[in-house]
Amino acid sequence: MPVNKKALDHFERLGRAIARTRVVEPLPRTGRSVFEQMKKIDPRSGMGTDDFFDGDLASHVAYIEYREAWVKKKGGRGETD
Amino acid sequence: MGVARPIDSFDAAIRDLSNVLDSEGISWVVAGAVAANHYRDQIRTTIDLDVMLSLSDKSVNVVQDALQRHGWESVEVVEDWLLRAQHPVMGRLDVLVSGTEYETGAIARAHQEDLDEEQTYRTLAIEDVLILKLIADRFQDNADVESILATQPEMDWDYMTNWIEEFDLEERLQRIESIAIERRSLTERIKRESHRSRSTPDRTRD
Repeated sequence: MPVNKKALDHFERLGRAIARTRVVEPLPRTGRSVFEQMKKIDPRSGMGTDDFFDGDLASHVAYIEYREAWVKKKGGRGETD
Repeated sequence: MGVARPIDSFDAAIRDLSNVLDSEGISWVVAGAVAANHYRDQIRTTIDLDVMLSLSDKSVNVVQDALQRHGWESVEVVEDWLLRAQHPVMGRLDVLVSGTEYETGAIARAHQEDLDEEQTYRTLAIEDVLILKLIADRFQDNADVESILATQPEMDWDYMTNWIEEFDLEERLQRIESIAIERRSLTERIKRESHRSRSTPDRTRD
């Protein structure tokens, strides 16, 4: 599959642009350190909230809808040639 | 050395999902914010654990029933594709069912992570976290894309660019790029002006 040079250039430019304004914490991280740091930021991290339907449901539904439209456009279950 | 005891809800949830889903022969991976946190420049918090799974010929009801037997209460938010579950100790869980060749591939190429000496789990590879986030395209998804790209990661560019083109995601990427460049300009201006105000003598006291 040929590399999409335009998209690749965008990623490289974007990474450089963002990196100049950010502080990167040490990488790579272990699974345990990820969970420990999340709990340090907020001990209730991962526990949900009083509203069962809040949080990232909208993101998941947006993802599923985009996927459905894409599959429909492909005329099947998303198999590529 | 002994196995570490579960330290928190995430830890307990990962162990429980391994029991529930592995025993049903269901392939699953950690996705969403927790997967993104393996690659972001800085870790962020989230209210839930997201997983993506491959059901093969099974029904989503198999997952729902298995979760229920382990004390999870769940609701099918999008029929056949999305479950939200809650457990009093293990917290909140979103289960996204894969439905495309791309997703099956993403689950297959996921990375294995260690929770401790005996317990492992699999999490989406960096390229697939980015692709899924670009598809979802909500505010927090885009923030995750920015945060991951800020680390200037090494990636499989062929794979990445192939799926960006396949899913028509170029415009979304360009939009994130524009915002990032605008923010960089603003940050640089703030730094310049902040420096100027520090170095200029305060004449109001004269």
